[in-house]
Amino acid sequence: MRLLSRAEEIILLAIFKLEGNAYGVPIRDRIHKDIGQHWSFGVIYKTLKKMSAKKYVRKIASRPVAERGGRSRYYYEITPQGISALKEIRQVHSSVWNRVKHLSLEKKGE
Amino acid sequence: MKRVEKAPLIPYVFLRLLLRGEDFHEFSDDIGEIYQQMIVSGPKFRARAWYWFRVIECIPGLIKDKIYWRLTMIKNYLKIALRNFQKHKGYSFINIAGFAIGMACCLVILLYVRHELSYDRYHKDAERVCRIVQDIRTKTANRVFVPVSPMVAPTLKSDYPQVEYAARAFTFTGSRLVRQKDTFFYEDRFMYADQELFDVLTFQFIQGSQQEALTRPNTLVVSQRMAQKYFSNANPLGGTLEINQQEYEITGVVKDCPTNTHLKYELIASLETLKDWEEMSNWYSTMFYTYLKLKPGVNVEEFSSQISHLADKYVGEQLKTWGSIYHYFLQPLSSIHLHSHHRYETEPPGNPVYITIFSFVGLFILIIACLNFMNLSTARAVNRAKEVGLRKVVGAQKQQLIGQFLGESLLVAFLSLGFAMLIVRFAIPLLNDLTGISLSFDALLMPGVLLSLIGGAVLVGMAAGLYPAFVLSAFRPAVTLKGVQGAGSRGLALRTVLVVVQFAISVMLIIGTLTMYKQFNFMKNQYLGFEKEQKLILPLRGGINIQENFRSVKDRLSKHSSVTGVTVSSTVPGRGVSNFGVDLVGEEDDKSQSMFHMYFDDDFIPEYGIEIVAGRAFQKEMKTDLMGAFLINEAAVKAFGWTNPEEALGKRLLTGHGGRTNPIIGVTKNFHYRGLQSEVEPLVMEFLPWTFRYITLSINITDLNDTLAFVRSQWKALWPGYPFEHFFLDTDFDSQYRADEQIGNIFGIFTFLGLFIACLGLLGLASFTAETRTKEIGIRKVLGAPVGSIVFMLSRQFTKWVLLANGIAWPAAYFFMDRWLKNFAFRIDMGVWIFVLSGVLVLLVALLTVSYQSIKAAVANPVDSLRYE
Repeated sequence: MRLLSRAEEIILLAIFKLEGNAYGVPIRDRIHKDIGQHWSFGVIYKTLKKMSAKKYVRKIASRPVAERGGRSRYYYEITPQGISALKEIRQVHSSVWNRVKHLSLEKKGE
Repeated sequence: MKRVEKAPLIPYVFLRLLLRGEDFHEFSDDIGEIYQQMIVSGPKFRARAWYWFRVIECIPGLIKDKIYWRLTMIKNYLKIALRNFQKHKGYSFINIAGFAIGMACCLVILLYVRHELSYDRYHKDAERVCRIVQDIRTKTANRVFVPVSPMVAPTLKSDYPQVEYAARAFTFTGSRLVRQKDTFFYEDRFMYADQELFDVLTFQFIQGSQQEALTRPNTLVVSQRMAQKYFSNANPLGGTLEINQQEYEITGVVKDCPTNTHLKYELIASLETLKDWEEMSNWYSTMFYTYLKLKPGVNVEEFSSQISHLADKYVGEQLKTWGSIYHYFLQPLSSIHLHSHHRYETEPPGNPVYITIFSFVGLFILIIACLNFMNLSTARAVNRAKEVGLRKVVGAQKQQLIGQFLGESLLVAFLSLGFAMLIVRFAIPLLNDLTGISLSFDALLMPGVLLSLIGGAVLVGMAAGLYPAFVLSAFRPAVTLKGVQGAGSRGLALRTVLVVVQFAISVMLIIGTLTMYKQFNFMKNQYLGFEKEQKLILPLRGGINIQENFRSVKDRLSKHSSVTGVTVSSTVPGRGVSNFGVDLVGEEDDKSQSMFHMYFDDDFIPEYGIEIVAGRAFQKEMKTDLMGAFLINEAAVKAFGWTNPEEALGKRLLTGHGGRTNPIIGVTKNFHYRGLQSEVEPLVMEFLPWTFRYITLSINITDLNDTLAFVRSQWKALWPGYPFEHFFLDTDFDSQYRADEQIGNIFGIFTFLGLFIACLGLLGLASFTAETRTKEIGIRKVLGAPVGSIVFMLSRQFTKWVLLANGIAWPAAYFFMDRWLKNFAFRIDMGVWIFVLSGVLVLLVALLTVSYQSIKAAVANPVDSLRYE
């Protein structure tokens, strides 16, 4: 199986943490809180679309919402495949970082 | 909170264009939600800016997504197209070369037409600027003069409040001798002008003051070129130039005269210089070009009718006694170049007929090139049939295929446009040389023009590619993949029509060229009523005066064995004549009319071999002939209403500059003192030494260098310091036809190119026909057909087409060329042979083109063509 890309990983985790309240606006906010960057909606939707195609997430249309002029919100939910992909990437992370003790790239003065 | 704010329109529309259905709503509603919140919580502009940014940051990504797959297909199409180019180098060359040449022709014609139409449009407020011209009507004649009396401009300014500025320009004194220290030059573009000319027309001052450059007498404004010529790098302002022995102070330098103005200038002297000249208050002379700038909002046509009788208030009584009427009218500045064909234009006017003709020629050539492309593409459809079939099998839509083939023709169109630009770039200097027209390539590089060229290329590509695209995309895969060969015969009828049209156009162009050539040739060789060969002319310019000593000058110049005769005159044929009112004294008063005048000495008539039909020519022995007698020509006899030239003898005329009353002593046969475009008009001739400006030497050209050296040395002795100039009468006279001839040259070039493109198309088609019939030819040969009969068979259909094309082209060409010939008072009959020759020529060229392929096909070994059956 192909590994998750960094963007996919970040978005999947955001959806995971949002626990059922994951649609475009909160996903973007969550990402901002997590990594401190504002992503463009285009990137988020594009990645979501790819992951929908790979069956990591499922897109669910809500009941019509008044604030949106009677149209649906589109919520995202992680599928079991998505969960296992996340597990796998964590596995990879921990194993590749395993032996790294003295990372002199950062805070050299410390 | 409940009030729903509308999202900013423009980014919303962008999204709408880039996304579809669910994707669109998800995006726009998500950002819409936040937008609504921000509107409530903060300033509106921030919310809008936020919305804008959210959309803008996504646009590049969205566009990339959107065209990614198309791009992939386009890459594939491009690859296929280029492979096809490579595989069929011959066809591709024919396609692109034909197109490129066609477009290049069009571009050149576009430049020419643009240049002609741009005349005098660059002046500021050009729509309010006009020239006033004068129609002089007498009982018998009605003539329009471009220059008017010097009184007109001041009168207009004082009597008519509609006039903002009025200015006069006086160019009539011919070329000028300019002296700067020890160097002498003749300058032709000299004029006197009012200061106000700078307010009426637009001159770009580089140095000096536009407001007062010409207010004082003896001041001069020069063009940049002149400033460079006479002062090189020194500051010309305040310097002086001596022009015809008169010192002028330079008070201004203006940008060089553009090529698209009818009033060309180099040196402009102040009209103040001439203020004491008695002519300046003469209402009856016509020497001053007068330009007006009207106040804004004045209707030109209305005003033109108001001023038509502006002179009557001042000289109406006098005019009435003479029985003539002065009628003035205005010409809008921008219409002068093409639409004013009157007496004493500042330069030969343009001909609007040529603009029409060339626009048509350009269009024709482009059509030929397009037809070629259509023709070849359709004919070669069979080569692409398998590709189309395969594409369809794997799911290509018809629209996609149309898109692909249209794209290919667009590619060809753009490639051709590129080549066309290159061709034009290198052809323009050559064309300018050959035709004497000054076109500039840079005009094509202006953004607006460039954009319309690209638009034009798209249009042409579409026009040429649409039909083949539809034919190709309509193939049925099941049929084509089975390998049925019939596809090439599709649209055979249409192809025939296309070839016929192409050749009809070619034949028309050739007939046009031949007719023009014949007409020009006719004009050059027509006997003009005088001898124009072996005449060496010395113009006396820059104020050389031979009033007193013309006899001794003539004697000096005739002292060489090769000089067989010398005569002096006010002008020579082809160099313009002056015009005066002529009154018949005595019998009937109402026979006053205006006629051309020419002055010469007693040797002119015999030297030029002009025939006398009644009476006698001027004679040296008759002292009274000097300023005391008139000759007239046959046309004048007719204008006076006499049936017999003998009747004219002894009648007395009052005419000429200053006015003299003298008898008519002789009548000459009509001779062409102007070019053959115009009829021979009435002419009055007089022996008037102070007007002499030309010396004519009849010479024996066997020993030309020696003769010239002799004449030059005599000139140096007679007029030291004056540049020696000379020309031959025949070439000078023929130069009157140069403008028309240049047009003829251009026409010839286009004709050649048109025929060339048509032949390219025919070549492609012929080779295609031969290719599709290889098997048939093979079988015929096996069965015993001789080579000759096969060549004949292959050529027969092309011959038929070309003959049909002739049938169409002849009447059309006759119609056009008959109208063109009407421009000339003396013209040829077109004659059947021009038509037959053009037809045969085209047929020969076509057969030659086809024969290469036919013979190749016919001599091929049948074994090769039938091997795979």
